[in-house]
Amino acid sequence: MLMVVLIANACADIAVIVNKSNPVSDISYNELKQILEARKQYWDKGEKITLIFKPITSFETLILIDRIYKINYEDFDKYWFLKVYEQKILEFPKILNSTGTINILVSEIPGAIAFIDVNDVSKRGNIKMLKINGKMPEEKGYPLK
Amino acid sequence: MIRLPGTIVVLIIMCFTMNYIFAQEINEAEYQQLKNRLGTDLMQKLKEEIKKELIDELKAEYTMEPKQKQVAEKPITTIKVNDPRNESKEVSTREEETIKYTEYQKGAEEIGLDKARYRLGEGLTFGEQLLTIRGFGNLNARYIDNNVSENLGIGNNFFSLGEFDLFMTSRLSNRISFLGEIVFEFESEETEIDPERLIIRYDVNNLLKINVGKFHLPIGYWLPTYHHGVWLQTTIDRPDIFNFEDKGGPLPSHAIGAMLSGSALLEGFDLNYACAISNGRGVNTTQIQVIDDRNDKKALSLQLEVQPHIVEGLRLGPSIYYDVIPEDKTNPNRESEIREIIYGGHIVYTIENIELLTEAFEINHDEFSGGVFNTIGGYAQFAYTINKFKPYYRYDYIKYDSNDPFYNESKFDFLDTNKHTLGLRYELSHFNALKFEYSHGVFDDEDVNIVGLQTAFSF
Repeated sequence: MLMVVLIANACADIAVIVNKSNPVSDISYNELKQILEARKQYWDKGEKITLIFKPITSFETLILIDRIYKINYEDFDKYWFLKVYEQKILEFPKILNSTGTINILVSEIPGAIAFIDVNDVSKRGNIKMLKINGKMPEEKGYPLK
Repeated sequence: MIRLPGTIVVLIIMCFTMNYIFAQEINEAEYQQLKNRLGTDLMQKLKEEIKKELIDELKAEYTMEPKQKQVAEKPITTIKVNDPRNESKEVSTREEETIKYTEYQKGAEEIGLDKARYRLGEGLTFGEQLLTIRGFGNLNARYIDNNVSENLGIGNNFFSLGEFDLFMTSRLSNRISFLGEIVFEFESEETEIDPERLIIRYDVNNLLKINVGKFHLPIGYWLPTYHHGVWLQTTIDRPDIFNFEDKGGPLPSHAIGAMLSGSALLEGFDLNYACAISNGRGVNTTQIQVIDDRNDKKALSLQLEVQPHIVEGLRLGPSIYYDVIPEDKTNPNRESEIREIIYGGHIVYTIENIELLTEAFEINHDEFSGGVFNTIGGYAQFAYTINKFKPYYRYDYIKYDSNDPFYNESKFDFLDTNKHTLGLRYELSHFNALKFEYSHGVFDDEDVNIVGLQTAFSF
């Protein structure tokens, strides 16, 4: 926990990126939580949500595990395995190391959503950053700091 | 005398002129003007590059050319900034951008297959379709001081192989998936291979998912959560009320038919539902009507569950099951059909280190000839995780109606149960848990002490 707080203070904000075709531009923290917990699996327009994470050792995913999932980070894959086993989801989320690949996947998949360092968001491609509760990364009050 | 062509002469004159112009000192205003012009030119160039990239991407998307080839053909854009004041910050930004772009291109190679796979949700090829297999297994050792029933095992102390469970999933498209769970069950004289779940699932949206095949009934919390995965559950055994049909359980667990499920995400709470129509039970507690329905009367079940946002980790809701159990013409005590209605409910609270599970059921059997019989049962379990240790306690309770012909005519002993279990789970590794527990139970007025040890794993 202490480690996560230290990491959070030392690192940049986590940007939530989606495909540009996604009509959502501002998302509530509660809705984001529903998506991350796979309780919400489809965007309101019907597009399937594809979750993309960085590896569990990355600061982005560690912070999400601490803030949203509230589980031990080692149990992150077990968490998703249970979801598959319970038939709550069709497949595991994508976990990718390369931010380049994540940027491309998000610009390729209309329903994709990914969580990466705000400095790693590509300015090219078919990508946009979402506001959370009306705040952009690096603004005061942004929840994924 | 050397004679120069006219064009060369003109070029030499131009070079001298340019050299003269750029050798002049420029003032601040001129510098700014030059910088702006350069910036505009660069932006224009960048825009053209991006446009070209996007066109190439789109072309690739529709022609499905190998991504690697395109990447090789595409030159890496490097933009040299001719800045007379050497603004290092701007240069570094450009370099970072170039690095990001190179990574972007590298990524393009890596995801060739992924792209195809995603896109081919509407056209997945055999080569790209994946079958994921996971498994569970467990080995038990047990001591029982007073073995009152075969349900507890034969003998007083023994080792036993638990279930060997293979769980597999495969995606048939972006919205269609297959799930199978095949369990090898080890009996005294034979090994039984039992397809416990075989489901094709169609995902329509958050509100509607259609499951067709053999599935676990939406009754309570334990059954649709842990299924056959012993490693996933905290304790060695399932709660007595949730023993499977072939292990002397009073509730129906498996069904063949169709099930609709989904979630409505409402203001303040999530509402989950599952409703199923199936062949229902056979003539006795162990029979699951897999390929036919003896009385053509379908079983119906409905479960609702609320997850209030205000109390994170809390889930609660009722379930109801209705069936008409066929008569058994070979048994004089089971000559009429039985209407079965099961009412149940669960309250579950799981968050961080805390696990609190409670469920209760009433099983109502109504012989159309007149007799009405009620069985009630349930359990409450509490566990708390401290690092790799998880101490737990569970209370099991079942009270049968001693005149119920459906249970009395079964091959199992359905004994009234009043049992306390105290145990400790230790995570030996991420995929292997060691469980040790002691139970004291009263089964039909007989005291029984049980000590159990289990190693359960996932692979």
